[in-house]
Amino acid sequence: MIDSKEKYFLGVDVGSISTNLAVIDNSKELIESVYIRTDGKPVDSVQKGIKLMRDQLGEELTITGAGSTGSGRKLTGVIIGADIVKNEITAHALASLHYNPDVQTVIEIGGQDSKIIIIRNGIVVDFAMNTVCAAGTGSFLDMQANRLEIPIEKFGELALQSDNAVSIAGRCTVFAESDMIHKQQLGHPTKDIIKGLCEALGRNYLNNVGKGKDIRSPIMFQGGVAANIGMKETFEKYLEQEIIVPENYAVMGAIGAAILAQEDAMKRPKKSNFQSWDISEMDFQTSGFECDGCSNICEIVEIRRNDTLIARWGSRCRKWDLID
Amino acid sequence: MITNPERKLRVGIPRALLYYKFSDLWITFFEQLGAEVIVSPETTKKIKNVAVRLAPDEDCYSTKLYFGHAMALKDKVDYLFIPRFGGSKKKYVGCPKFIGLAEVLRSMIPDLPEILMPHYNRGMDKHTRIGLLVRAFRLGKIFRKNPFVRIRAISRAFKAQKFHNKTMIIDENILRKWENSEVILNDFPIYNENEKQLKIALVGHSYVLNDPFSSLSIRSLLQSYGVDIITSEQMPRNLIEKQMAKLEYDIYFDFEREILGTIMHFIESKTVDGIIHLLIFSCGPDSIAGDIAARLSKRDSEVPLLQLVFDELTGEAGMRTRIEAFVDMLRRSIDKKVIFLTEQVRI
Repeated sequence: MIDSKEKYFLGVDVGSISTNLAVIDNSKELIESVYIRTDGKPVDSVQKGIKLMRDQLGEELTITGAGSTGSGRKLTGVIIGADIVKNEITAHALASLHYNPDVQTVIEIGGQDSKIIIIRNGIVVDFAMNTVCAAGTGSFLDMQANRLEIPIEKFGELALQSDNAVSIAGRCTVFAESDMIHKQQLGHPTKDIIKGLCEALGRNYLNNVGKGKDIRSPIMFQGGVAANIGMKETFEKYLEQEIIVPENYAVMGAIGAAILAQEDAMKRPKKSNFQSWDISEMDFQTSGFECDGCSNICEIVEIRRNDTLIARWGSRCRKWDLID
Repeated sequence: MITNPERKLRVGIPRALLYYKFSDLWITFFEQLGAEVIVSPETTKKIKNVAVRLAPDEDCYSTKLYFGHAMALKDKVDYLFIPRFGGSKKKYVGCPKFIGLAEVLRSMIPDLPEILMPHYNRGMDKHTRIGLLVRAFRLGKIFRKNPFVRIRAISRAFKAQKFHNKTMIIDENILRKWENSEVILNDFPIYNENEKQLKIALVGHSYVLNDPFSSLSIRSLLQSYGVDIITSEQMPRNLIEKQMAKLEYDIYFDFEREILGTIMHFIESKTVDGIIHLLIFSCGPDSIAGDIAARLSKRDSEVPLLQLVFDELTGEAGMRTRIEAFVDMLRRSIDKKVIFLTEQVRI
């Protein structure tokens, strides 16, 4: 599987809930992927992810380019020594286009973010992200699964067993939760409530993030929530279109970051900044302080690798900035 | 107040809202009358925190910031200048909040310095242009008794404002030159190697466009992405009126005409790669213009439109992701277009 003449690219997507890594070859085929929880410790989870990846691929594999994406992309970029740090919209769009060059709509629902990306002729033409509300994203489903004591993996299956979805107020997760409790207390079976919840979240997504967007087929559904077959069915019901869930739905962001790293390596032939597979053994420390230079009182963050300061940011005036 | 002939009277002007449109007029006027003008500093986190704590909850973000700026001047000046400005055109209105600012502040904070609050609203019958001059003349009496000095101050102030408008607002000829990349109208974009040059129209209220704090430094962000911008403030007025005439309804919010007219112009002319529309959360006129802009952009979507809504709770991370993704999207679509072209040549 590993060819010493082949070039390999690493993509790391650090989101609020999960950290994903993907290694692709020069033809953008996925070689190996890692999906773990971020657990609120992005640095640790990147180190853990790199270690798992190394264990699976072996230390001999050379990385020609590395990219990072997701809400923790900047920090991740410094930790792994990424050649390119890009937003998750671009990354997801690229990964989707690789799996289906004809794709026109990408629905991506992750831990705390949900997005819609509109693509025409292989070009992103429009996008939207959820604004101040995280209703309908993975972390809410996760919380409810916990509350109902159902493993999150079983959530979708259970929804499919129901043919009588109860109506749940999906506008706000707090109200959705009280509504669910109410329905439980009325005696509705769990599977009907779960199906009702999936439908409420699907409606919420289409009315908020998807509002005013020209949703055309083929539609791809990715991100952690795509594991939930109940959500897939909901979208199929409301959009009256087939929904494609790609095989690697959960690591599409990481694949996109790897594709970006490959593009970057092609544009500028240079040695990759990628640290090495020993990242997991290095000691990373982050610390912060408040700058009292002016009344903006910026929060400055410092990142140290083995006691050497490698990055610092957070000031509006950029006087503290240190990258590279 | 102790009047000391040795010391100049201090007039404080909050650096917020209409300051960004009329600063030259106001500052020249008071300085010509021998007053010392103190403008509050640029918005900082401290000013924002004071503002959000103090201001009425339902006010828009920019109005809230005004309260913070007024507080920053509170103990430093003899007078606060907070004009009650309703609008400068017969048919159109500004924002009703601007008319009430002075009164709201006075009722909320009793120990403020005296507030100078001349009222001017061209839309009202008695508020003629001559009336404005008379008001300015009367206001000037606080500082100088000599009528000639006051008349001269008024005349110089209007001259300064005229000059400001002339340097800010470009004509069609300059616009054409900008569209052809012959001139730069704002900060010089930082171009990176192998990157296509992008042109974006940055549209919004002057007090959002020019306040890096409330717009999360979007101008310098775009500059660092190598984007050449034009702002709605700079647009030729005749082009804006031309676009407004196309609407079936008359938009009577004066500032929104500028915003909407700019968006409509570029949707039609397609001379920019994209449009970024900055909106302020809970601004009434913005919500109307925002919706109209979104509909028009949907009808003719060749030039992409990104609408960003700002308030005190806006997260910088999410905003940056959107702006970066938008710039990426535009850049990639240009790259693709070039590839299509070469493919055709080969055939």
